[in-house]
Amino acid sequence: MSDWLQLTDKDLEGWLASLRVYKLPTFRVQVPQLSPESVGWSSGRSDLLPKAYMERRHPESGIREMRFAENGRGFPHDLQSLVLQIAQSEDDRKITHVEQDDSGAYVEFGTELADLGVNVIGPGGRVVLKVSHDREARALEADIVIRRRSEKVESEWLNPGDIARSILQRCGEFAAHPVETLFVQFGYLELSKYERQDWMRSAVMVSFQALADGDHVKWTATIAEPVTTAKSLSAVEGLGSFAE
Amino acid sequence: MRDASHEVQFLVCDDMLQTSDLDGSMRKLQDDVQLLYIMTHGEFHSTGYEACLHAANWKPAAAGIGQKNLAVAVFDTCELIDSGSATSWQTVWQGATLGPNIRLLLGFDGAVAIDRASALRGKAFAENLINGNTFADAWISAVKSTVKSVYSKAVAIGIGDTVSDAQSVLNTASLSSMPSARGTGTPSFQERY
Repeated sequence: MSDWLQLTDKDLEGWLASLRVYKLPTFRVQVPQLSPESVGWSSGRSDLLPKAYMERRHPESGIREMRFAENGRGFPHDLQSLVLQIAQSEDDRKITHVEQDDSGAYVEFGTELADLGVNVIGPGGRVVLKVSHDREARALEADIVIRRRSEKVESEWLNPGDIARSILQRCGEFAAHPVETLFVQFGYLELSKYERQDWMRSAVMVSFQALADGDHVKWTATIAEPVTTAKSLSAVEGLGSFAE
Repeated sequence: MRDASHEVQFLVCDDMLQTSDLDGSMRKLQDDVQLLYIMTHGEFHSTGYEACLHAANWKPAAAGIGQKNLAVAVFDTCELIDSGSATSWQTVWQGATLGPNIRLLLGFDGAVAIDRASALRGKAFAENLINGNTFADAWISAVKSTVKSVYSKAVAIGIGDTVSDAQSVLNTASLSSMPSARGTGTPSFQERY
């Protein structure tokens, strides 16, 4: 997982202003045609992969999912490389970081948009490789949560003060008191494989905790706030469930 | 789950659910099902875990779970356990009234983000189960694939007569391989993150 930056509410506007050096167009996402055949598991075909595997497109998002037979050695390095090549064919991305659990049964590769040098944030924008326990046998699973970008739409930065005020207002809706500590990430938001996404846009993700008092329980949440606007695009387009 | 021919016994939101529906004073809904999924606020105390309902807190550790059919309980709430607490979660849950049938507790260690996007983990969990994942894998994978937060740490806890028995439940229990009841001795736990 790419790092979260810890800020106070007073630092937020200045940090946002510092990001305005980036040119951040909005991209239409090319969602694959989904049919009963493509969303059902079937034998995969790729010149890159000599071994047999199963694949499908997730019925909500069209994200590519792959399954391989377990060979008792976890995810071998050559197979990792091949899956990453397939991921690269989905969209022009550069691997930014690798996160792995202690057992090696879960490996996650984060990405950035290679042409812009901007991170992809959110539950998407990554390639996940995992060893799962299946009802029949251990299996190797790969989720390529990378969407193909197509049309580029020029976008304008919103005012940093307006963005900051909107973020703090939205955080405050959860809390009895103003939220003063924020964890933030900046980049292009990509949703999980469980949500369709038609546009990919730049945004700030904010993770925060609202403290408890007599009338309120402790509450943590994550929101995404757009940092640019584009003609003919609604303010929440591309944010999925994070818009609310 | 219904599309995959599983029966959903009871579906309720917010203030319609009372502690009396769960603690046995009127009924114990969870006794009728094999899998319980509850999403609300939660708190870990030295006296036990509590799920916060609209009017009062349900204390499953005190009221007891797993005496009849319930094998897997998903507490999609904060603080099923809290490894940062001064009190050992193993000690707290060993003091709970855990019937022989309950073999898996799924939830979070510490706080968890509760927002609309993160709530997709319930859908992800069901989908993973239907695709054949074990309960433990289905839960942890569902959380990792949907939640982006500095706070959310999913945990799966196997319950067994021994640690290896608890580990075995983590590794094998699934919709098509529901775990059988354990003995009546003190439970052993094995956690997976």
